[in-house]
Amino acid sequence: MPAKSATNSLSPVPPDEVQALFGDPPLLRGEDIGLYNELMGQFAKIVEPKDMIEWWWVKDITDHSWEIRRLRRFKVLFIEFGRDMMHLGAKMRATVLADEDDEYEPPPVPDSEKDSAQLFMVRVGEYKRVDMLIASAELRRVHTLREIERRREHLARRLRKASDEIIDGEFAALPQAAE
Amino acid sequence: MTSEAKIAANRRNAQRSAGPRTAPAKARVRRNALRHGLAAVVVNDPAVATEVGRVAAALCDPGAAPSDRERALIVAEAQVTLKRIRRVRAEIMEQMSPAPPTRPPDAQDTAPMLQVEGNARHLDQLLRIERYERRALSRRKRAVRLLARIIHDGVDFGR
Repeated sequence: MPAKSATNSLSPVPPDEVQALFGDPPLLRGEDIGLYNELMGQFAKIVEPKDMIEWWWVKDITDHSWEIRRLRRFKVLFIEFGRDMMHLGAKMRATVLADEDDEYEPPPVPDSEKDSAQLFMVRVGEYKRVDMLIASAELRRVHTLREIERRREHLARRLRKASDEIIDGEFAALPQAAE
Repeated sequence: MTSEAKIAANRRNAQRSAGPRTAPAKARVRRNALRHGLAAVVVNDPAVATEVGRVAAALCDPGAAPSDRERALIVAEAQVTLKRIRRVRAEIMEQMSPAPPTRPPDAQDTAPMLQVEGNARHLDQLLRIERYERRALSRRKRAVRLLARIIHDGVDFGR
């Protein structure tokens, strides 16, 4: 279940009939539904959706921005997870060896740049795939913005800027995916 | 290369089997090739068809012309498909969560590699479902453009 937090009551929220059709947002465990709603509220404030289709665009932009940010975060977490695994393995081995040899010293936590590079090498295939997923999500976001642009030109520019800020982490309420 | 005798034997065996005969067996094999159902025609599922109907009703007045209602249904179908795709994507990502290490201490060097293989499989699944989302978005976009006249006439949800 996604976590909950207080939402900004000043941000516009989808009308009940629209919200009912949206259903639950596609969040992972530990992701904050309050932040998601706030993000959607920020986009809605810019778009001021007038009908169902415009609300879908707001939802699309929210979902795409959230996903891009989540995937970028995944890339960092892959390395962090690999590091945790290495460290845990070393600790388990140390427990066994310490029983046999009193002078055994456990290895340090693998946190150097060289360790990160080594983990990156192991996970470079995953990195490539995640990059492809990010590129695809960015393309979808661009297409949605183009659709909005067709109808309201200046609006799409403002929306693009807001979405860029969220993805690049300049937004006050950052969706910390998968933490 | 398969021998002629083998081919003939396969044909004979195939003649003996007529596939599932009972209704439950037929229902079971219908789903043999189904993985995520994202490429399926969504209105074949009664629950999904109901949802499509609800979305279409929100877009289009019941008294609208049949052609407009048909377009609203296309938009609704694409929208419901998008919702399903995003849910499936989230489910796959959930499975990528790091599993606790269960391997013995002397095998720790291979544990990260096993995790990598698991993640790679999930990432491939995510890449495969991308095309369904692109297809649904494209379908919705075309239908929305056709529906624009109705939208501009104002199905107003308030703000």
